[in-house]
Amino acid sequence: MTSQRSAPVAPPPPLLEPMPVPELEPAGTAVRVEPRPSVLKRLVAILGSGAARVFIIVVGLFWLFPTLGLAVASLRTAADNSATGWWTALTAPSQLTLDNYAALLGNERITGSLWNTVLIAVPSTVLVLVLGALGAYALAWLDFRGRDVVFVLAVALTIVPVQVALIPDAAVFRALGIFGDIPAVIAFHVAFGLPFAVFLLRNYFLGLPEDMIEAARADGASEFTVFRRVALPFAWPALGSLALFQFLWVWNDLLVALVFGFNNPPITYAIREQTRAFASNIDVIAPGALVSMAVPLILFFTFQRYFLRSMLDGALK
Amino acid sequence: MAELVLRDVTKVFKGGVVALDHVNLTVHDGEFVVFVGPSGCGKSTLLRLVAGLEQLTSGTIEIDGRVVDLDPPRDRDVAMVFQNYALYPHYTVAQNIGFSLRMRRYPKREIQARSLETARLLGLEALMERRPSALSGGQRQRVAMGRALVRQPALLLMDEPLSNLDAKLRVAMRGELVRLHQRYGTTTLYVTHDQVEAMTLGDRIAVLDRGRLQQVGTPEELYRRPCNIFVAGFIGSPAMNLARGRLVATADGVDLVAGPVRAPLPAGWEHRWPGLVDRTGRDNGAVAGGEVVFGLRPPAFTLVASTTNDPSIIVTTAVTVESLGDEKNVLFVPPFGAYQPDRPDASDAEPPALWTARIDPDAPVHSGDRIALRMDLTAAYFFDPHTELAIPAESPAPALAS
Repeated sequence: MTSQRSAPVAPPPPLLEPMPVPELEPAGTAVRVEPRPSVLKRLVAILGSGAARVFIIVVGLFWLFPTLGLAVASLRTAADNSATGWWTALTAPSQLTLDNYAALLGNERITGSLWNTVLIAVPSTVLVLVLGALGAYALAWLDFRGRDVVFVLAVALTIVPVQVALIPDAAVFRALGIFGDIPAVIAFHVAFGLPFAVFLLRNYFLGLPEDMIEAARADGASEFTVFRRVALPFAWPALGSLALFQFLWVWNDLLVALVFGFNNPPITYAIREQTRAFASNIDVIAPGALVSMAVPLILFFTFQRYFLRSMLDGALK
Repeated sequence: MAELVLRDVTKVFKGGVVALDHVNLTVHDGEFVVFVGPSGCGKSTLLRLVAGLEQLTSGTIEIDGRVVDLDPPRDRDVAMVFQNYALYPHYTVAQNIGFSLRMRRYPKREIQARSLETARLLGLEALMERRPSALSGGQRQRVAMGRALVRQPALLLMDEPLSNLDAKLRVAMRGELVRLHQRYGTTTLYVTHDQVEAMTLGDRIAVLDRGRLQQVGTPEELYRRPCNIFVAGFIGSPAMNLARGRLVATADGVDLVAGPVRAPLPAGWEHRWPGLVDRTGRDNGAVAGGEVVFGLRPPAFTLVASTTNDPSIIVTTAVTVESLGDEKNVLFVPPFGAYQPDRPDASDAEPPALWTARIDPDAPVHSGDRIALRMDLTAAYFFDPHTELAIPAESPAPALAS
């Protein structure tokens, strides 16, 4: 193109209103303004202060007090326990003995029921995890008719109290011939554990990126493989906390065991048997309760990492 | 290696949104076809339908003569590269690349060998044990590519694979894509909204708008012979300038009249645009000219001294001057108003209200200056204002280089 310079014809009319230019301070004079800390952060700061800590420790001790008493009582003979209060052991530690524990381990009713508790709690937890994860994945990532209805129903079921199902289920279990046996207890716990499991895990699975799921499908994975290899590895924290919840619930359950577990009573059932109308076998109850408590405590401290992580996921980010 | 045939492919989403409306297209073996269109035009949906991630509402999809409509993705032998890569964060690079082979139960040795070969090709062999979180954006993109290429699928589907990269990397990867396609010759469907990508990568380009296939052709064809106003405005950067005008017969020819501008069509116009003859009323000498939409690409302007009183020259004000070093584009308001479609449902690819002229990069034009531009009508495009279809030219407009 030849250089055809255009001579400006007329002064240009303003096309746009001139933009106001903000006046700037000289460099380095700006005041650094820290954003106001969030409510959560301030709450954490308050809770972390010295006075609050003392208060929390006092409350904690207060709550631990009955358990401490039980622990001390479990180490005293039945005669001592009926003669004096457990706190006397603090000044006269010579009365402490492991006899109760020795007797407990020799008590087949107690050891048998402890084993029954394991037989109930482990399958109840595993089944809820396996079925819950499968169902939750389907509700999250498979497209089928009535999916949302099923999910809403599952959520609605979480508000059904256990008590309303006791009598109908008793009839069902009797018809199946498992009334009073471990399978009945497990079936009941699984049925009542699943709605919450599905609710929790479905939301967890939904948080996975859609593209990743689809990439796996396009890569040739079957739906089960997508679940197993791509979705599940991210669900461990949720599964861990769910397992802990479910396990503790089943382990400490008395009501369901009383109704459905009378042939193979779990530990809660066996300990309750030791209370009588006018007295109780404190030498069995105290060590039995502590042994029964030990398993959930060990589990909690082993898995609390997962538990806390999934509780806090999203809250602190 | 495969041929893909789309027949009346239609997808209606829940709620009645028509994403694709009777799309017919054959993609030949080894061809690289790029789908372009504004966002929401259905191009990504089309890819997902071919991959089997969505179900067709009606129509059929054939891969190598086999109808695959109802097959799940794993039975279609297609691989897909996603816009945000969608790598498996819990697997290493090697496991990511080898995943599809593992799904097809290849022996371990072969998985390793093939993954390594693919990784080498993409320059990833040093990163095989890393996880995606320890990779840069460009490296992740390569892994996504490797994952799709490793099993040499019949069809390779790419959904805006380069759009998350920075400009420099994007250009580099574009070259790499060409190289990979030359090496493997895999039939490829590529979705983008970047028309430079479309023009440089595609053997053919398919332009989609509101679920309808507008035109399919080589980049050259689409640029030189757009079939309608949409394609004309979409292909080319900066976009073609469009406006409404009338053709008025005069004593010695036909003038294009638009607002105050009146420019004679170049001599021999009746041979160049036979379709215009019927629209001028030239034979009966009447002034009742036909309405047209005309288009001019940015290089079809020349900066002139505006002292002459020539009605074929546009006198206007430069709103913005974009200097790109070796080219200079002036954005201006045409005195006759830029073309606006009269359909109410026009998609968001609205033609801009400003026109763009590419001028001599040395011209001392600044925003706000009064300028005069001569239109070169030999390079004009004409469209029917009602059907929006092109009024074809006998010989394609010359490619204008400024």
